[in-house]
Amino acid sequence: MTAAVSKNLKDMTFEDFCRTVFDTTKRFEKPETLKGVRVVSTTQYILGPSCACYLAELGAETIKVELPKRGEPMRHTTPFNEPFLYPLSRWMPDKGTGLGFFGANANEYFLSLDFHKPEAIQIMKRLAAKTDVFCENYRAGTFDRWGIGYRQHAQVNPRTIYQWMGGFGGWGPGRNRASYDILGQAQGGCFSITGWHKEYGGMPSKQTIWIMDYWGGAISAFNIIACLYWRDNVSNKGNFLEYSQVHGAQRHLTDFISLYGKTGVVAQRFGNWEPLLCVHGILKCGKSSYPNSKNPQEQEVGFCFVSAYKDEDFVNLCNLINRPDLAKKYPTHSDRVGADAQSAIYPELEKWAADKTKEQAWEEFKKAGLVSQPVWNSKEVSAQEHYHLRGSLAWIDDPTFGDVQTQVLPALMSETPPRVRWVFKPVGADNEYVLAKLCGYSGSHIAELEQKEII
Amino acid sequence: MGFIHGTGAPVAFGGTPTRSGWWLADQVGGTFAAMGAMAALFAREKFLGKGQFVECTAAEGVMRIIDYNWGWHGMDGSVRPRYGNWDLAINIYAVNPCADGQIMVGGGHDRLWFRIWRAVGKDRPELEQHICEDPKLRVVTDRLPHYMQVETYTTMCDWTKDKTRAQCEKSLQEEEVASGGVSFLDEVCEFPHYKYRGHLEICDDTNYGKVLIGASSFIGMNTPGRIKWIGRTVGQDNEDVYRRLAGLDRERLKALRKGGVI
Repeated sequence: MTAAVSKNLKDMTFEDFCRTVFDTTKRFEKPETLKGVRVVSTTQYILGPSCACYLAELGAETIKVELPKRGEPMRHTTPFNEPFLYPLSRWMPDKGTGLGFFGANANEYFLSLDFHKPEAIQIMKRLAAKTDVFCENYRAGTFDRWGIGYRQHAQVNPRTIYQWMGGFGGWGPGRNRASYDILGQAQGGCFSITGWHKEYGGMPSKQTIWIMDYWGGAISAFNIIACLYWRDNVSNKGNFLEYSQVHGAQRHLTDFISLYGKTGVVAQRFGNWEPLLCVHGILKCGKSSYPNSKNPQEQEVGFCFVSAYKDEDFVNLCNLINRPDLAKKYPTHSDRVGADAQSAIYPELEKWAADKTKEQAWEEFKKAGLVSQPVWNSKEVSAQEHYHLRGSLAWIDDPTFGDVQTQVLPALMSETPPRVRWVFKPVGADNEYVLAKLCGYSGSHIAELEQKEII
Repeated sequence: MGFIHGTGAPVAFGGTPTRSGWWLADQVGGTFAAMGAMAALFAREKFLGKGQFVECTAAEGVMRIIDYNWGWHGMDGSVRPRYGNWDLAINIYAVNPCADGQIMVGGGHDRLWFRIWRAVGKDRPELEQHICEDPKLRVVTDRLPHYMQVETYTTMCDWTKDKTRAQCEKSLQEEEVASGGVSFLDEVCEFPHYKYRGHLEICDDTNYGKVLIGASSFIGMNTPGRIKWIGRTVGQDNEDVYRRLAGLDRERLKALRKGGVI
């Protein structure tokens, strides 16, 4: 790297160096990582779309194929049914797209296509000849049956990388089960270990966000880029990839799985505490930070994370709350990590925090030299200049929808940074562009396809 | 980052903000870091001809995948609330209690909505009738307000409370509805479909013996992921690495060892 770093950069402090090379205002002056890679995304909900979206944020030309008219179901999935983003399509200007679609379809080109029509299959085959990557999450084997699966594409274009994504995988005794994110969470195992224990009035809890979808998409996108690398630098061959949501969950529960394998112990949920470290948990602070707010979200009392599992940190923490006796009673980590000790320690910490807001508790912890962080809601995070400067949150002037706040792929890259150009577009917005450029269709041919409701 | 604030039940249901039971933010941040590094490798070989500096944080990893929170807040100042095991944007899409644990049922669109109630109606026709004849629940778009979700799930739990996870699952799957019990880790580890597909495998590790692990989820025709060992002891490969890559000889290695450097 040194050769590439100018003298000017060499003499800077590290912080200034990072600020300069990651400067998010210069993102659009730099090349894109996946420029020249074409992706066709025949996906819906979040798992498949988010995978294609990450590739698009890295610069791949990504074409999203969805059903004509209403588009994919996620366009109609939104809190309180409020379709914030108008229009749904040029044919339905009075309808809109909901927020469920947001965050998983940025930078893509939108083609509408009804796969039940034979002409649509022909279009897919024409696209296949010129496409590097397919992302697909229909029921396993459906595209193969329709003649547009990996096997057929690979005959035309052996360099095709085809990623299928789904719940339980394309083979095995349970392959036919439908899946959603929440089912991936439930059957993958991570649901049962989240939330408070029954004794504390809790039950297994969902991770509120569509985590198994968004994250599964990230794992799939990583695998696709690895296969692109392998194709272009090693083998000149494509690949057929499969991602099962439940499998992704299990891969990342390894320590819990090994615990069961070794001892038969079934890990249980432990609320906001941590079974491997103590103190390393979230405390309830007795006061709300915004008692006069009209929003019930803000009237709630605050919560603050604190970490003090090292002996000296724990002593500091006990002195802070005026309970040095606890530090004497639980001098070593093994003394305090057990369930009984944790059940005794946390209530004492919460007694101390009972007359404080989360910000006050945070200040005190910081003064005592402890790692801590208040639990922030989306409003508080949006207000952090830090994330806007770093470009992981951005207000963009979307060509269709105007000013929107959006998240951006969080891998900051000094030479080929990811970026969001638009959050998404209406159904079929790029029909003419895609069909003329990649299939060589004339304007009248495209109009005819539209009239026959093929696109 | 809005994640803990959003996980768990609302205050009205006795809930608090809740952390994930596993180290989710690290896993997610790590995935994005790996993606960034892989993308940098690809760019280096393809056109850039040089390396680059990649930075990634766990917090921003979670922020990237936290649905529509930022868009929603940007639109009208809304703060995404906790909604327990239900979903603000889809009804039915939830986990609810049943006789031996909890059962997930999902299907917001009309086709699935009526199939779900058909499955319920086989045992409890009055419940199916109660829901399907309610004019306020007939259209997808009318089902999302909170009181409608309460109505839906109260009725559903009237059916699930007497049935085990397996019984619920069977009835719902006969109607091709996505459903499944909340599985504890022993159930996950012993589930035949996962065993058949090798989601879990016993790694016979040179250091640690046989260890049950979650197998690599990179399933690929030509380049499948694999786990060769689960970890090595500290400095186990010093000799190999320092000799092969750093060109150190026996004497130098000995000196470094003595000085406590390696």
